[in-house]
Amino acid sequence: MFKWFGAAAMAALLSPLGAFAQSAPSYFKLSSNPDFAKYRPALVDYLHSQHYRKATRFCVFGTKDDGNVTATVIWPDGQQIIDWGGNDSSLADSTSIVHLKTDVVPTENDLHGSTYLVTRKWVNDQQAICRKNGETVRISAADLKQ
Amino acid sequence: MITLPDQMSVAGIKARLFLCECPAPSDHSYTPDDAAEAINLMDMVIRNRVANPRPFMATGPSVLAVVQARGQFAGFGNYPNISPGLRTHIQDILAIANNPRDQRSASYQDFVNKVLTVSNATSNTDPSPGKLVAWRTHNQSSPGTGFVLFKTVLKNDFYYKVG
Repeated sequence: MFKWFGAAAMAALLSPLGAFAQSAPSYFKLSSNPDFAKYRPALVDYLHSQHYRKATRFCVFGTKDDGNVTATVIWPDGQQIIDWGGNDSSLADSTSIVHLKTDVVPTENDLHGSTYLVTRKWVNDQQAICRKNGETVRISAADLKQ
Repeated sequence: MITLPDQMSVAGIKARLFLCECPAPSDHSYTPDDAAEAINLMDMVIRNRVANPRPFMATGPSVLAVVQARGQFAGFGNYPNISPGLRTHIQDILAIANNPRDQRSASYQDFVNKVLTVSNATSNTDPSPGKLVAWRTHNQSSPGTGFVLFKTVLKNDFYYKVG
């Protein structure tokens, strides 16, 4: 117990101020941000790259905190949550594509320092944030034939 | 023409990992300075894991064992067999960098050269107050208990451990 407390206190003392100065994130609709507003063609391109030809839907939202702006794409049918880099980048080139069938663990204790596994709570949080703050994008089979 | 080092060399393994983990110039958050810093921090993480592989599921003190460690780096668990999507991603980056007719070529060349410089470096200095040992996509939560957030660079949160 004491050893744990000592390590935690040491970490707190040594930690840069930034680690404790994080502001609460705010969320935005991608359609309201010019850097991310072209999400629809990006989604269609991604479905093409995945050889997916059926009607499907996405939930998308943006996050701002401490100068960081990110866009999250949730694809329930594809079982993926993707960090999208904005209008000039493709979803397939994302450095973070979470596959919900294989990349989700029960708790933080199961991460073991992983760079890409996520917890069930994180997934549930993303879905809840998107329901509350995001937009649903429906892509028809006809959209995919173009 | 830019090419990557042999895939089984230390520099080759690192270069492929960094190209897959660091957002490329097409990402709206990208700046050359942030990319240089992010790649450098990633390199430090790999070095610290090689020095202490066990907590990170690696079977031994080598770069190959560290990147192959179960559940640690997406698509690299069976290295040199990288997942098809990531293989395409690397090929796309090199294709843009090596195509002088592509207006993105200069920024991609610079990005790949930054990756190669760090991958080929013989040493690095840990800027954290402890041992920098992890990174996560920004806002994807801590990588576990005992990790302290060092800083966020180019949409990646870097974590260190003390002791």
